[in-house]
Amino acid sequence: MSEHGTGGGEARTGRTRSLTKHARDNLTAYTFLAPFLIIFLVFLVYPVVYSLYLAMHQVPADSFDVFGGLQFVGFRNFIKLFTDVKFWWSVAMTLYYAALIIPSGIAASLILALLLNNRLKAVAVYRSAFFLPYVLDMLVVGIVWTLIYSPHVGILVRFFEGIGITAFTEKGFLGMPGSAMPSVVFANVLKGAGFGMILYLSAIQNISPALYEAAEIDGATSWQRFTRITLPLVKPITFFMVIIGTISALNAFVEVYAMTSGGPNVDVGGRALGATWVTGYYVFDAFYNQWRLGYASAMSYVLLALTVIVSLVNRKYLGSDNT
Amino acid sequence: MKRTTAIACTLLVAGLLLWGCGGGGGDTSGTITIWQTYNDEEHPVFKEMVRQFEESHPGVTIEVVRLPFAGAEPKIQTALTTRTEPDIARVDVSFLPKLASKNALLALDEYIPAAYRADIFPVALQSCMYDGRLYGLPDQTNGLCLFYNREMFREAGLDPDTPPATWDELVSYGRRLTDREEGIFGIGLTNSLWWSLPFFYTHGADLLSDDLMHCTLNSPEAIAAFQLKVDMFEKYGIEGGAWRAGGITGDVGFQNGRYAMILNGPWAVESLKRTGIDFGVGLIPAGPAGSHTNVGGNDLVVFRSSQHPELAAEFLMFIANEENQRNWALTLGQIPVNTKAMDAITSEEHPYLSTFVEQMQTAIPRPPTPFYPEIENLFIPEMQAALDGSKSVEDAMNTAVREVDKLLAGE
Amino acid sequence: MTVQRTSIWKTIALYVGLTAAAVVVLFPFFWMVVTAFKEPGQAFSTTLFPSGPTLSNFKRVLGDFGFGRYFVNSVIVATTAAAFATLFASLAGYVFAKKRFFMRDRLFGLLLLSLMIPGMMYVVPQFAIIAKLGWMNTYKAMIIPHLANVFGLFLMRQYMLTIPSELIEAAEMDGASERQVFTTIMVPLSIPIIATLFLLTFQFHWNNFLWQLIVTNVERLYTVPVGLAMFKSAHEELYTLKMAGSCISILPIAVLFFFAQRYFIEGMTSGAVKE
Repeated sequence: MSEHGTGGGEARTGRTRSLTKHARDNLTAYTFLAPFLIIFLVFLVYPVVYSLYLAMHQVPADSFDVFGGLQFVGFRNFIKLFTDVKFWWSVAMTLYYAALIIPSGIAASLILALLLNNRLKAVAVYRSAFFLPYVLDMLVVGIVWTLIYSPHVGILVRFFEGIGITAFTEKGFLGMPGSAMPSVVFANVLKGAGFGMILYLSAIQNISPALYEAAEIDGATSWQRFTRITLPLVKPITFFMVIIGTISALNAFVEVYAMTSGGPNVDVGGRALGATWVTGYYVFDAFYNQWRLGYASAMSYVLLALTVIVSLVNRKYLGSDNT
Repeated sequence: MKRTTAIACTLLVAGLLLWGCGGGGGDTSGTITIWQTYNDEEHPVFKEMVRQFEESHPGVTIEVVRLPFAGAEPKIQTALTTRTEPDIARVDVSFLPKLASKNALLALDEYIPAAYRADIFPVALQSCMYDGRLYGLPDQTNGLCLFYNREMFREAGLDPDTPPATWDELVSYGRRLTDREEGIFGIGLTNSLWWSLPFFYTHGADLLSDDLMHCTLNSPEAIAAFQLKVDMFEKYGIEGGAWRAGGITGDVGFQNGRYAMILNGPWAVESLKRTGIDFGVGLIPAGPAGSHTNVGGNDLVVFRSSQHPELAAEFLMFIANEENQRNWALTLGQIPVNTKAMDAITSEEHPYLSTFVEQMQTAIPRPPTPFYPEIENLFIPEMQAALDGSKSVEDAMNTAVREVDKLLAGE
Repeated sequence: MTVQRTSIWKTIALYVGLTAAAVVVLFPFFWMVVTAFKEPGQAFSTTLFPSGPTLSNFKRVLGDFGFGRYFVNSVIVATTAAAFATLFASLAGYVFAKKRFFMRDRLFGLLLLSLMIPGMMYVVPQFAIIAKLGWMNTYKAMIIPHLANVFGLFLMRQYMLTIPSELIEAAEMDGASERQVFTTIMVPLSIPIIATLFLLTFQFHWNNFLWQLIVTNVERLYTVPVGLAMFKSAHEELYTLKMAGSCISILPIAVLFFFAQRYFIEGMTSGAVKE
């Protein structure tokens, strides 16, 4: 079936023909686009708007029919947030998470990439081995690490006992405020190292060997070659990893849910706050446990604001190189 | 390609919509759904009870859904918000007021005759009352008593059949039982509001004012009560720091012979028996206001939206009736909620359980406030601070009371 | 000569380093598998390999504890969602790559922006939508909300840009309809990326935990991650069973990865940095 006339058939002007085609293109495009677009608008765009609406309401005190009985409270939820110690603490914990995961994530990915950047026979096998955890489910990873970190019986605790360190025996790694966050981050780093590794690997392999040869001729040591050539040339990846690490901290939830539920309590000026109480988890707690849907929405808007700031910083430093 | 996709989508949606529909029924037949949170030991016993109910009510099917005990409340909240709640649910005593205050529950006054109610253990029944109306029936009740290690008593020259009857006695017993160098202590105390309530109640302190709007745990009685707890650790040195982060918890310490005494509930009896420890259970030592303990437990509630209110109420009455409660008590070692079943618990055959039953006669239930869990969370860090000495008891209680009052005022 | 010697030492050192790193990275999974095969009483033994490996944990978890049902649910949800998500992303990616239409660039910008939204922001409002639609406890709620995969659309578009437009024009000249162009030219030439996208969306939906936790209140609908989380709350102390459940949870993805590593690796990292 032909949708337009053959080459010589029209007595119309070229302009009319291209209008028809243009209109037709529009129709086709939107038909093809429709399923995606409908779901996108309904479930990805509208929720952002509705979330703001929710953030300016609170749930009715006398009914569970939340969405039928919302009470408008203006900016009260945001004001409450600003005076909520637990919220600021969660922001601090999120920053702490980021501060831990960014350098260790970069280091882990770099190390793996350097190890793989050699013409060894089994490189492909190792590469898959390192990438595998990234593909698997964080919940499961968290559950297994909880066992490994368990007081008295966890294999890591036993290992430390074996080398004479009993500090972790009573409460395990996740039960002590000082070690809880680092332990959660450690599990996450091992899981995600494979991803950064691939990025670094391809960047490193793009560096012209001539540069290294020239440096070697000039008498540079391996370390100097690494710090003066490799590192600077993979800077875009490193910046990218910083962004990823920050986004990861802002979105952190499943690992906390699986391992610490917000963390062992720390006494902060008389209030008991969780050592792994990141903002992502607080949003979940405010919603699912406390059923304060308006408050949770307001909090998620603050998370959004932080993410936007991170993206703007990203754009400023990397220009238009990155999306 | 587009057309087949459209057809496929429509079929999928249609199929799911059809699938989602259920059926209703009259009130002597039909299906009622129950969400329960029983553990692995209780579940088979409950299932058997359900089966008996179904047998005696032909045409009635009961669908039992199990939820994990921790994490049931969000599921119930979600269900209520999306109008997918069951007919009946088993909830913790402290959750019922919240549900009732939000108009989620069916008032059962008309469905449960006064004569039946008279048989229910008053303290347990009280946990189902909100705003003067009855919103459920208890299926389980419990409270704390004093557990003590008879072997350790003997070794310290104390009579293994006579636990301390007053707090003063407990302190002097504790001194004889404590050996700091060996890491052995007279008592190990858990710290939370609920676990401290025996202290408060035995000194005549109460949690909230009658109108539920004001917290009264900074009264002189309350402060004296908590001071006693703090003194056990600091002044008398008989408490082993079980409440500390990194400390040995009461359960573990008692099982390992580190604590000669702890407070614990009826749920601990069976597992302790299995460890072979020679232990006894006594009443909570008396304070100026006598011997009182707290009340925990669970209630069965019926949701407002239930299509079968009469049937549901009947089921609640079935579970709390004399026969089934006697069965619960004898099979699982729990305190029966039906007073008629309590005389089956004789002190010869059930020494531990009969002590609990006796204690529950003077137990004091918590006030029916929807905010109990939040109040707990406000008190715990303050109490912790008082225990480890960073704050005076007065300071700690006053701070907590202030925060609770703010909460109750709706800020 | 000297070069040869250092080369061998270097090789050995590298293998040692690589193996050590692999051991560290894979240790949790190794421990999970090992514990899953141990008798419950041995859950905490420090032996690396169980002395009498048993399948009882798997049997119990699949049968008594419902993981068989959860597995079926996960398969249904992940497969259906992946199929539709891939389809929608392909259709949409094609027009973004090859068509010019009203508001195309603005729409593309909106898609880009949407990538910035933190995941936790969606949870409450999406729940609200589900509540209002009455979709609680249905497969609909489990599948439909996440069928618009923006990252997938970008992947498709990127790939389809590389398909020469002349092919399309030639087909149109021969009288092919839009539908035919798509099915006979674009799809066959895009099989690698379609496969990649299917795998990635399958993996996303298989692992998607929080959303499924919120919209399913009844055990018969739980997916494996949700079932595992519920099991963990209810039976914290049944360690060997927990590990068996965990093994079941990751098995399909691990198997898929084993057979299709390249697709996963290239797919997941291609969007990262534009080179």
